[in-house]
Order: sequence, then C-alpha cells, then structure tokens
Amino acid sequence: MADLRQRIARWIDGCSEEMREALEWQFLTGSKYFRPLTIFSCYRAVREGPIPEQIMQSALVIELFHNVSLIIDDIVDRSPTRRGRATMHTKFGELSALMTSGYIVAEGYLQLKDDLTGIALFSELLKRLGVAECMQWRLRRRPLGIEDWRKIAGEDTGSMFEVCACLGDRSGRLRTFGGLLGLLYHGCDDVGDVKGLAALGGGGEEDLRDGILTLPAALAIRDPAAAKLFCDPEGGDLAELGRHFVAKLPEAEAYLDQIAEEGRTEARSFAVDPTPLIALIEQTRQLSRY
Amino acid sequence: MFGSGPDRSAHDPLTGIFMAMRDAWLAGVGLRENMTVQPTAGNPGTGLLGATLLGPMIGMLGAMADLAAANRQRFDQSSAEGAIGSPPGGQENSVATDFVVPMGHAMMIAANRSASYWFGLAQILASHQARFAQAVGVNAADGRASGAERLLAADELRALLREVGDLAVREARILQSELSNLDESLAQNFQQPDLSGSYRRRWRSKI
Repeated sequence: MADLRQRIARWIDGCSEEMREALEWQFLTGSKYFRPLTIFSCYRAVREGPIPEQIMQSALVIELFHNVSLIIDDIVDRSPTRRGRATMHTKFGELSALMTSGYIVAEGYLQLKDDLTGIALFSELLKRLGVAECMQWRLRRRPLGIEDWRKIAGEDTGSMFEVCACLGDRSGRLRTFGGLLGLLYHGCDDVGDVKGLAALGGGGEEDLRDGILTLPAALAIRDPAAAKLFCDPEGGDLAELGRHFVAKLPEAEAYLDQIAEEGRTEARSFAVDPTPLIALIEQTRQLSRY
Repeated sequence: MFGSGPDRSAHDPLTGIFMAMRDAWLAGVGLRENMTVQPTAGNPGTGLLGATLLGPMIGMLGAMADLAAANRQRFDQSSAEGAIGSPPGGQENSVATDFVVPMGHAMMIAANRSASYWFGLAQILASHQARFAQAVGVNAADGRASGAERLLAADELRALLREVGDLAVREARILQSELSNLDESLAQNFQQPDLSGSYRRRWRSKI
C-alpha cells in the first residue's frame, strides 16, 4: 500500500499543473484503498510471489477510476463533504470537478499502457457504472424487492469489485467472488447509512430523500405503510420512513450474513488459497457493525 | 441412502435417473394444475408443497448416488481386470493405468457434481419451502392478495429461481475446474522427458 501511495503521488507530480491542486485534494487524503487491496488479495489467492508490475498498475488505475465515480456521485448527490472535508465540486466548482474527472479517466487508460485485458476490464467497469447509476435513478421511489436491490447493487458496487477480482486473478475464476464482495460492501454501506455511521462516508439522508432502493428500504417497503411513504417521500414523514428502515436492520444484517457466506463458499470453491479472500469478506462485513 | 426406494433400485442407474426426472416433471405439472384448476378450494399448504416438490428432488439425489456407486463398481472392476489379466509392466496394464484410471476418475467427478447439484437443489427448496408456501398461499393464488403481498410472493419466487440458477452455474464451474485439473495431470503424464539437454534452435542469419 505504501508503494501504491507513492505511485499516486508520483503520478500527480507528472500531471498538468492546472489540475494538480484538485488532484492532491482528491487523492492525498485518507483513502481506505479497499479496491486495490481486493486486487492484491485476488492475485494472492491464485498465485505466489511478489506482486508484478501489471497488477500494481491495475491497482493504481482502479483507485483513479474509483475516485472519478466518487466525484460524479458527490456532484449528483449535491454532497458538500466527504471523509470529513469539502468535496471536489464544493472546493473547486462543478466545471473543474467534471473536467478533472475526464482528465483522470484519460490518464488511467494511459497508465495501463499495453495491458489489453486491463483496458477491456476498465471499459467494462465504466460502462456498467454508468448503466447502474441510470438504472438506480430510474427505479427510485418504486415499491421493489430484495431481488431488485441485488440487481442494482450488483451492477453498481458489484461491477467495481468484479473487475477488481478479474484484474487480480487475470483468469475470471474469481469474478463471481468479486461480485458477491461488492454486493456485501454495498449492503453494509446501506445498513451503515441507516445506523448513521460516518465510517462509510454517510449519504443516508440523500438516499432517503431521493427514494433510492437500499437494502433496509427493500425490506421495509414490504409493509404497505412504509411503501407509501417511500414512493412519495415529499408528501410524507421522512423521519417515520427512517424508523421503518431502522426496524428492519436486524433482518438486513441477517441477509448480509447470508451474502458473506455465499462469498466464503465461492472463495473456498475457486481460489487456490482462499485465506486472503475470506479476510476481505470479514473486513467488509465489519463495516456495518461499528 | 437418499431415498433409494424399491421402485427405482430395481432398474439400472441410468433408468433410475430418467424415472426421477419424470417424477420431478410430473410434480411440477401437478403443482401447476393444483394452483390453476382449484384456486379457491384451498392452497397446497406447506406440507403438501414440500411433499410435492421435495420428494422428487430427493429421488433424483438417490438416482445420482446409485449412478455414482455403479460407476465406482465398474471402475474398480476394470482396474482389477487390468491388473490381473496382463503381465506386470505389460502393454495392457499400461493401457489400464493410462486410460481406465483417469476415465474412472472423470466419471466419479461427474457423478459427484451431479449428486452435489441435486443435493444443493433439495437444500434450496427446503430453505424456501415455508416462505414460498406462505407467499403463494390462498390470497396470492386466488387473486385476493394486496399489491404488497403479490410483490412479496414474486420476490420470494425470484430469489428461488436465482439461487437455482446460481447453483447450476457454480456446480458447472467446479466440474469444469476439476476436469481441467485432471486434463492437466493427464497431459503431464504423457509428456516425454527431454533428454537432449538444453534445446537450441538452429538459425542462420539472413544476408
């Protein structure tokens, strides 16, 4: 991780002076580097020896692309802060934030050099993230179920971790594992938001206001009274809707345990050494338990 | 084991599988008819639904176990015949080692995966049985259910279908992986050791 941090710093040093301040603001603050960690763990689960250059490059680029998705999310959600400080568009303005996003994507592809598999995987990721955001917005304020939540979360965070797994194992064996890890992460994030946790960056109020289908929401709106509030949040009491979500937290936690178990089974079935993958599952599962 | 009833054990293992498949198909048809022909006369209920769907699954599992046992028996027999019927180090013994052992291994892998699939299917069905029966109960079946109840029933059914699909894909991937490992070990057994020292490609510079 220290190597990765240095690579990011070197990369910023080589970027246009015009962009540097915004890039430093975005990248040189408390990232958890969980996506690069997923790439490294998936590599370790199928191979031994030191991490090769191509995998290090992939880890750098996934961190770049992940930050692009954060910048866009913050603009769309009108979020003033992230990780306890101003978001990029709040600090530098929307135009700068959008242009910096495009700059980072172009730089990401340049960093991949001749890694054709990596290029294909990152293209898949950007396309799927775009589709997921549109789908999530189109399906807001609708009385849908857990299976719909799985589909949305699977395309959103799931696609990110699927690609991380493929970048790490380079054979596709761990793709399903990555998808399950992403689903777990997304679900823990949803539950954490309802618990009012800052550990995952917040965002619960926006989801509640916009009628986004989170895991606790999908469980709560099985009750027609909650469904009515969810579908028309402006006409109802958001605090009351929030209470419906809180009541479903134990059920949501049990569902997350089930996804975690699916992930462990997948790791045991397809990894040469499942230990690093199971550690990822345990680490992710803790995110909603702070 | 696994419901090896007298009706199936009287046949050879392959016929047993076809009979179990027929039972599963008939159970599905029966359940559909029960839901559409008598929508107001009551619902199948948890017990009946379980008996209707879980029974054939267990039957299929038993048929797979019978096939695995039969394969094992054939494999042991041919290995023993190979060992007895040829002189030590002879050509026939070598054929038995080279081909019969891996083929038997492949058959056991396939049978194990089949049994694992049907076992997993029975487990999925058992875990969904109560919730599913509740969700497709009287109200949902006769159209008196509220929108929320119908959505819940649809969600339960979609979860069941996804899990069955995921199971099939996972078992197929494990099968592919295990056969690929066998294929690799077979290929390595047939590789001749290179006794010629380090190989140097001949070349001549073009002028």
